[in-house]
Amino acid sequence: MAWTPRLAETPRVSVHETGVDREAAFASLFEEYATPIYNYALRMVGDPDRAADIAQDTFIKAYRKLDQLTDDAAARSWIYRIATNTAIDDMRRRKFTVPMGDESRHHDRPDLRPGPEAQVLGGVVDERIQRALLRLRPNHRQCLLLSDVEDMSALQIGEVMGMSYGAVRTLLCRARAEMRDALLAEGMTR
Amino acid sequence: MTGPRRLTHALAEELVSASLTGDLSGSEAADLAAHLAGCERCTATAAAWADSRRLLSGIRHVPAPRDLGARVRTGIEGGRIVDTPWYRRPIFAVASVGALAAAALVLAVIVSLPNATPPVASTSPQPSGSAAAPSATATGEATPTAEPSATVQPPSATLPPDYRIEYAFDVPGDITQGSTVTLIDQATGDMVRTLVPGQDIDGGQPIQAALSPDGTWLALRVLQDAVPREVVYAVDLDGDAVIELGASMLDTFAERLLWSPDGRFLVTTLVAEGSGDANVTGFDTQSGEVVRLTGTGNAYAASWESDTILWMSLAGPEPASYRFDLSGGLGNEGELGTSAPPVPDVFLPTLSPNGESVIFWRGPMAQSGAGWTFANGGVLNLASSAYLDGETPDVAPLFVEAPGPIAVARVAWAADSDAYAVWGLGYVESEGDARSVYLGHLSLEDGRISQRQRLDENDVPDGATVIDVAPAPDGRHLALTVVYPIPGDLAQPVAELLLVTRNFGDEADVVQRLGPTEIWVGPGIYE
Repeated sequence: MAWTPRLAETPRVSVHETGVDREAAFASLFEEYATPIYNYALRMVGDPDRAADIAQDTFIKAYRKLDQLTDDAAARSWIYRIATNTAIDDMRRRKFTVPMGDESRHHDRPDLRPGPEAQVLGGVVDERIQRALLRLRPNHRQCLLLSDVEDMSALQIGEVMGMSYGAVRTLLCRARAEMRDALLAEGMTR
Repeated sequence: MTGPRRLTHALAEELVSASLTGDLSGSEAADLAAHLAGCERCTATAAAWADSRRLLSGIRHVPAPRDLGARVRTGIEGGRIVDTPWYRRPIFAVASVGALAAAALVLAVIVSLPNATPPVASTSPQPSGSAAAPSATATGEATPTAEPSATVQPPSATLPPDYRIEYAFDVPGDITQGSTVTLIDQATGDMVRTLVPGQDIDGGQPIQAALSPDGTWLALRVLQDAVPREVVYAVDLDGDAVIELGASMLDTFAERLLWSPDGRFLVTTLVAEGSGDANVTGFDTQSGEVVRLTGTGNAYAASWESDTILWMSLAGPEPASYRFDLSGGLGNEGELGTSAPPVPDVFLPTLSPNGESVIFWRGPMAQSGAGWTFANGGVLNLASSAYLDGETPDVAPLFVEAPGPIAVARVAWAADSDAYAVWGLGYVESEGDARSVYLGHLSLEDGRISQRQRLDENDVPDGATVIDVAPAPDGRHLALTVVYPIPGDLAQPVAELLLVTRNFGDEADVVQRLGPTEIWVGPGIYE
């Protein structure tokens, strides 16, 4: 097996370097992605307040890293990758504070209570779909949202999640199987 | 012309999934169509997954909060966040903030144990024979430690007579702005090296050090908390050279500073800012070259098998490890290759010094904000190193009964290749156990970790977090570096070195405390 360099061969075109005004570039980015990123975070964590925090942190990080944005075509994968990582960090941090021995939080046991997100979104989206989503493993939820809600290809999902094309296809397959079970529990699919 | 491939259900399902996102090749589509024509099960799956996709794609977006823009702007102007991962925040980020007021800080110690005589404090009971020679007591004499209270010695400014500090870092002044780091020979008091910020190293807080086996180089990791990032240096203790290996985002599994046994090579993992790509970088003390060895973006340095054989791991949903031969040097950037087959489902194999045993992780991984983690928990395993060659199926979880899926842990072997320490445990679903330290012995019982191997409850003071452990080759002693949470940003950070003499049965451990008048941020190393 030969390992080939990847980063070094990828020329980075900086928004800043191309002369585009940094503030204007960021404003454009925010305008285009504020709502999608907020909704993505909302589906990920199921809580409007946390989703707002994640969206906020995502754009703050994006602002600081704006020079690293390769080009406009890469902006979508780039901002979703930041959001994904921010959401993961948020979820992990919160799990880290759950007391040991609390069986109600066992990962195999779904939380059947309507979540705060469901309460907020009641009447807007089907509460049961969101509840099914929240039963999935976080990485399954991520790739399913990116695929079926954000309509990304396996290649794009790989860019967001930092995975190979093949790994995304495998993960997506597992996620669909888990989602089917979750929806079945809600009586929503065959 | 060949017809469609015969598919298993599992492969057919993967193709069904890919078909929903338009990720099928022509031949795959033909294969799938042929399979579905004769498989009710997969046809039902395809229909159900199509339903699922339709439901998800129909989710309506809700507006973002009206104040989101204002919050982002406030955050940008006010520095709301640092990108420090959750698992690193309790220790270093806090310590460096509090260090603003520090005047003179001793940051690292390297402790040697010149002979095998256990250094037992005068007030402590004599150790039992079984504990003094664990290799001779594989009969299971050790009994569970009920609830012994450790015999804790009062804080002391001097070391016990059987210990000797060889080097210390003296860092006066405001280290967050970058202070001079002075390496001191504790035996003579001589200053060995002085590292000037902005000249030799970037400003920041030294948080980790590793002396080369031949004692001529020091690997140093400096935390720049404001960014935050870590910068790794190699410092020539006999000359003037200070080599920067590179900067890294903070990452659980990128903390290893690995010197080859002969001291020629230093390898470490650096996580690129922005992309989060993890790659292994090496430094050759002979040629002076710094080379990024990998370009995959998910590569981690694991451990050395010999002077030139290095184990590295690729993180991912299905991690694997590889053996690399560096006998020809580091080569050109990113061109390192290996013909050795991958060892699947093995991550970060940590070989014992004699190369006969290995501790490694298993489990699917996911990429987080920086680097890779066991998002759903990993399992630490113990095996003969023959396992890496596929010669033995014998492998067992390191913990007889783990409290839960493990997200992070640190492991260190003693030089005798029998004793090992595990600490810094964090769990996926519960609070981490920052005070627990386990001292295992391959020669005791089945060599694994149970509650019997846990150091006494009171060995580590309340509120302390263990950040570095060095087990001694006699299997009974450990040097623990602990730090304490800071009550407020302006408080002086407090840390100390604990020298633990392990007792078994009803006898309490003996703990010698050094400090807490100064900061001690490991490593404590027994030679």
